[in-house]
Amino acid sequence: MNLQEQVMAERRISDSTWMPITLVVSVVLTLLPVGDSLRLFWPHWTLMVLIYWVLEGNRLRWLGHAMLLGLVLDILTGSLLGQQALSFLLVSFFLSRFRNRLRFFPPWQQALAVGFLLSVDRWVELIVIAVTTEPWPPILWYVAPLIGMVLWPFMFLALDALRQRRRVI
Amino acid sequence: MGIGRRSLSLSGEISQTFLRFCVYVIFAVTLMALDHRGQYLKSFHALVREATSPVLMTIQAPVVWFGRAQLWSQGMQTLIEERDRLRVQVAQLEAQQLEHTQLRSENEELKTLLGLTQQLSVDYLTAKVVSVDLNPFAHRVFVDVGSRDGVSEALAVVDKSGLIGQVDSVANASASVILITDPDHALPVRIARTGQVTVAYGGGLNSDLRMADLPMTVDLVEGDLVLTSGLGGVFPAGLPVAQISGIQRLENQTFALATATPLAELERSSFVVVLQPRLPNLEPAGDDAGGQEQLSNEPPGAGDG
Repeated sequence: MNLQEQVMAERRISDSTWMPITLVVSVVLTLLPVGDSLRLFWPHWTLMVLIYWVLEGNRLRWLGHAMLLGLVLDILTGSLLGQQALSFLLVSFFLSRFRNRLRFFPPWQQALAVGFLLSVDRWVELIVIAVTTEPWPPILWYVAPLIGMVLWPFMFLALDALRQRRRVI
Repeated sequence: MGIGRRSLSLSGEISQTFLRFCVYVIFAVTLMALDHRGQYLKSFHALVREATSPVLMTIQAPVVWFGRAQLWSQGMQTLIEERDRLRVQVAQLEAQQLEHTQLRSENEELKTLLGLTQQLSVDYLTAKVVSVDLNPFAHRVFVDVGSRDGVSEALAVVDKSGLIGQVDSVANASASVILITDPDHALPVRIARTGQVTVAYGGGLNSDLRMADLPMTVDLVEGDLVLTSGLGGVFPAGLPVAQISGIQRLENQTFALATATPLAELERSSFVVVLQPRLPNLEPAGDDAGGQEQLSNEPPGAGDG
């Protein structure tokens, strides 16, 4: 009992150090100037990290968290203020409804669900593009969520390993 | 009964989440609407750009370092070769510049003779493009010069081969440049060969310019050079803009439609030049010189006549 409590406490501490670090790294990755050709395929790292922390770390579960994170990204990327806030909100809402089910999915099924959540972001952007009468994006633009989906299990394992190691030390 | 209470509280919790979700969504959509209309959040945007530009510069740093590392790995030999090549180029350009200044003074004299208004002379301010932009469809680039360097709104921005766009909004140390291919951008242009004046609109995604109000009988062929006309007063006249890439004369339309490919490397330039009109404090001197020339030149001309 005592040992378990200690482990849990340590886990909490390690999470609260790793969460901001991974979030900052993901924002940097998202903003990294990768060039026009790679940009279309660049997955939404911040959204993936957010999904990870909601699912596994039981952190950032409030809609307000997602909203704030989205607004920060909107400000940093210069996109329409509220656009990514809205897509983060939708993702966060879906997560709050289906979190318990998603957690016990086998990895490939979870990856599919994450792919769906990542496409939500694309659909929101598509609606914004339609409403603001911006030019229509090319078809390759829809590939990024698929790439995120493929990368999800690896990212999941990497982040798990990161937290695990910190806990042992 | 216990189960009933639990499910009740669960559904209650969900509906509360849903309610909160709705409130947040309305907030986000309102923000987007306000932002899209632009006027309400303009000062906020300037403030935010001020605050975030150091962050963006920092994120850019690894890419810059990577570029430097590549330079190192290229070795001394290539660098020396490139330096020599650039020196030759600078010498050539300086020679051309001499000729250019001579032509300019001659041109100004002739213009004063004709009694035309003087063309504004410009200062050149080199700027580095900050290549952080998540949205690949935003026809905007950020540059690392701002109001502290004397940049203000609506200045023309060019690269080595042509017009890129105009300054859209300015912060202290950075500015956003709207490209000529932005669908919201309209540019008064002149066809170099015929002198036909029209307006070139940004074509959006396919990064072409569209000219939609040309008469059906317009004299225009592929490859014609498009220059700024200087009408409207934002851009100086005569800057190279684009080359005509296609003309369509549709049967049931009133106007011919032309597309043009920009000459500048719009989103691939790493350095751009902001054209700053020189303030007219130097002009009186030029005027005086012009006036004297005029005086000394006029009598012989009058005598000949």
